Amino acid sequence: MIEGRDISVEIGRRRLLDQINIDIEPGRIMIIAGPNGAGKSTLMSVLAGERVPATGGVMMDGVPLSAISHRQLAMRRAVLLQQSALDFAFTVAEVVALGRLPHVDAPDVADDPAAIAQAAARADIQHLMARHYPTLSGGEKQRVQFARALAQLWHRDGGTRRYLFLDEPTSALDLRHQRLLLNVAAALKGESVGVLAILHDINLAAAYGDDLMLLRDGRCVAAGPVDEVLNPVEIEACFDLGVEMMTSAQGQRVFVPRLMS
Amino acid sequence: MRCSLFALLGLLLSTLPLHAAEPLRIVSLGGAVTETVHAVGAGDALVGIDSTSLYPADDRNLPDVGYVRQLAAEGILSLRPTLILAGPEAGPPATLDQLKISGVPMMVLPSGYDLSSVTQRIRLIGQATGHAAAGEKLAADVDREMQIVQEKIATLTTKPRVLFLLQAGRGAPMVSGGGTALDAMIRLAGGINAVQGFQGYKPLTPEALAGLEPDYILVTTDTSEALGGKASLAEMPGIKLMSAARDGRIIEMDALLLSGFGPRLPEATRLLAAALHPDAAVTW
Amino acid sequence: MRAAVLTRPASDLWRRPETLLVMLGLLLVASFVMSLSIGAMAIGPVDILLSLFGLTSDHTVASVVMELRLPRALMAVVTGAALGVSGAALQGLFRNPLADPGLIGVSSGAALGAVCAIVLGATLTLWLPLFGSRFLVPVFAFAGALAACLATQMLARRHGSTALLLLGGIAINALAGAMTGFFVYASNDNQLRDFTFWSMGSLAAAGWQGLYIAVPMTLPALYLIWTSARSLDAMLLGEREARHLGVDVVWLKRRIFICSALAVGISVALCGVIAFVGVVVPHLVRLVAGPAHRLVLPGSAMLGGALLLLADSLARVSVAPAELPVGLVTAALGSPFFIWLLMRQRSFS
Repeated sequence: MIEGRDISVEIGRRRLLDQINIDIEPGRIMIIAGPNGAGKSTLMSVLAGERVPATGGVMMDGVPLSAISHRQLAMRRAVLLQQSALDFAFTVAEVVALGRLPHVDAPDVADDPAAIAQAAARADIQHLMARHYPTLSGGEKQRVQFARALAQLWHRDGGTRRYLFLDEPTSALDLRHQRLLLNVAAALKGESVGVLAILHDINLAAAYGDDLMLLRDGRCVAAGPVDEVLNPVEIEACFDLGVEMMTSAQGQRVFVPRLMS
Repeated sequence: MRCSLFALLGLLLSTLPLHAAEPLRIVSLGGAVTETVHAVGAGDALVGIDSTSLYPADDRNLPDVGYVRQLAAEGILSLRPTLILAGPEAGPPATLDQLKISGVPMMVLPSGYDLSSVTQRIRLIGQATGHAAAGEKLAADVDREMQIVQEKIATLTTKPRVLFLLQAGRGAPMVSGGGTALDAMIRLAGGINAVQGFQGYKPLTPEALAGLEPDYILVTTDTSEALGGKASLAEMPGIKLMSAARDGRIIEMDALLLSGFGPRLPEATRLLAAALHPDAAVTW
Repeated sequence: MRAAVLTRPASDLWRRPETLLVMLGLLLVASFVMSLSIGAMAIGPVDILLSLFGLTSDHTVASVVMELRLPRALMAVVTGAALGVSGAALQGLFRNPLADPGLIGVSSGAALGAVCAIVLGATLTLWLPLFGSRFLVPVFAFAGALAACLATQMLARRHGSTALLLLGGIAINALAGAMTGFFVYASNDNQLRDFTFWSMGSLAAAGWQGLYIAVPMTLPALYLIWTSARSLDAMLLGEREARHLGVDVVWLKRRIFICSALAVGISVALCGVIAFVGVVVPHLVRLVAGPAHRLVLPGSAMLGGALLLLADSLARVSVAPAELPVGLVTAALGSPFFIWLLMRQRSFS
């Protein structure tokens, strides 16, 4: 489990995060949502060990992040960032293979081809493997980066606890691939992977999330199981936007914004 | 500095085979050295020169091994010299090292802007090229001619102040302070260097220039030509303010003749002295 | 500045690492042999072989081959490799295919050191009789190169950001340039000429002594860069991405920085500024091999060595018995390529 406790982040006098508590558990998907500038990405960067909080701290399976080497961390936690500007003409296969970097001297280095193949299949990019990365469309690039993160997390022993951080992973994807990607994330739950995802689409959050944290101005507006947190009252409190909740024919909860006056 | 040069020279001389059976093949590095080689009668043995060897002009048909301060060893060795004569300005040191390793006899001549250095260099070049007697005679001639010129100069009552401009096109003009060839030359010709108080060449602002008030402005022909002649030179900032410029007291002389300190030293001295003392009742 | 998008033929034979490296190796050997064979002095292949094994009786030929051409060719290989590998590594680190070793201040620092030694030479030898006058320029140039790199690194250290490193390099380059200008201004005609020639680069001074210094310093530095090949690949994805892939980015930067500064610093100190090899060579390798550093780094080492050997051969024979500064040749060959590169880049952005 990754536990963030009392996390506060300040830049100058501005408080970006104010005493946030958050847990990411293997086998569950934690969604962070909130308006622009709420501090979602900042929170993720703290949880990823990239940024040291002003107060509070982060533990990974009982060990403070600061006590874990970059490499050890990377073997158990992959991060998919919002945008990756890669201008050098790597092939897609090479980019995905870079996910295996932390495992270079590890015993499971022999598993690289299997890891890469599975990651490519899951991200639906097998047909792109020989292409040059800079020639891809935005959505294709996002899927390639997703595959890289999957390859990084791949582990022969599926029981090892691992974590996958996704910062707006569906922002450039078409409808079908949005669903495909989150289906993969859901499948990973069965492999002891804890997923942390920042999503803007409340309906995707409702469909795939187990837990949800609503952030606004660096504060936690509401947190808990998705079914409890996600309701029109909390959504309006967080986004200043009235929504109606409906239930689809298949029993999915759907939120539709009210017309703004 | 001077001592170590002489020591080095002695060392080199002791290794020179002066009686080689094969014909002498000389590569001469430095304008004054080439002049001297010709003057002692060894000009026919020259197989290569550097880019500053401009006198006598017909030497320009010989292979040119490049700029004297930036020589490359293989080019020199490719001319298969049996003797390398290097002026004090020859370099860089690494190339001289490489030439030494090659085993080709090489003489590095001592520096010095005075008569005894000049005659010494002439004698050394005479000995090295197998024209020792001619070298002795030339040295004696130079010595005697200089004595004559110096005696005439000693009779002069005036000591004009002379400003030498090294380069005067871009930026502040460079002038020659103490320790330079030109400082020595001006003194030999019975003048006073208008620039006092520092060593070497330095750029001066037009204001500082104007304050110098020299009696004469001395430039090389190259500098003057680069600026478009004496008239344009006289129009330059700072220089324009000098009475010497207004009254046309600007002297042009060939650079190699003026600063070479070779066998033409008496001629150079005489020419400069005559220009500096036009009213003197002396037959130069 | 946006980096250029580079495409390359996707032919599999070329993508095979062995193929490319073997070809470059052959090119390097061929250039080396050619460099030994030609020069101002006409020496036949037999005589060259005899000289190499110490069997010739012609002392001049023997010394031309053993004391001039051989150390010079070796120095060209070492220097070319240092420039190529450092260029490739820094381009990876800055994620910018137009980056050049000069960017971190190494060339301008060396220039400052060199001009300082040239202008103050006489005074300095009085104070530091330890270094003979002929070691003054290399020693000062090397010190200047390292000092400038160190200053750049210190400027960027607080935040450790690559952008700051780049800006720091620009600032230090400007400062060193200004100070160099000061010395140039105060120099006399001869000193100015000495410095001008120095800044055009030349391998003419290469000798065994220089190699004894350059090889033990350059090879370990290049090896250390090579061991970072995979981490440099990750850096191309982005600094944060590299970090999340387990790369200790701060440590990697420091390591690449120090190794490049050492390798390029020593080459600049001994051979002056040799332009464009550090930019052009990694590019050419990438065009064929793609950006993966496990190929780009050794490829750049070999191609850098080969190109510098060819450029130096050209410099030695084109105006024989005099010779051109090799930096002039590399710049003359490199700048059209660079212009082509820039025009290509514009068409993509």
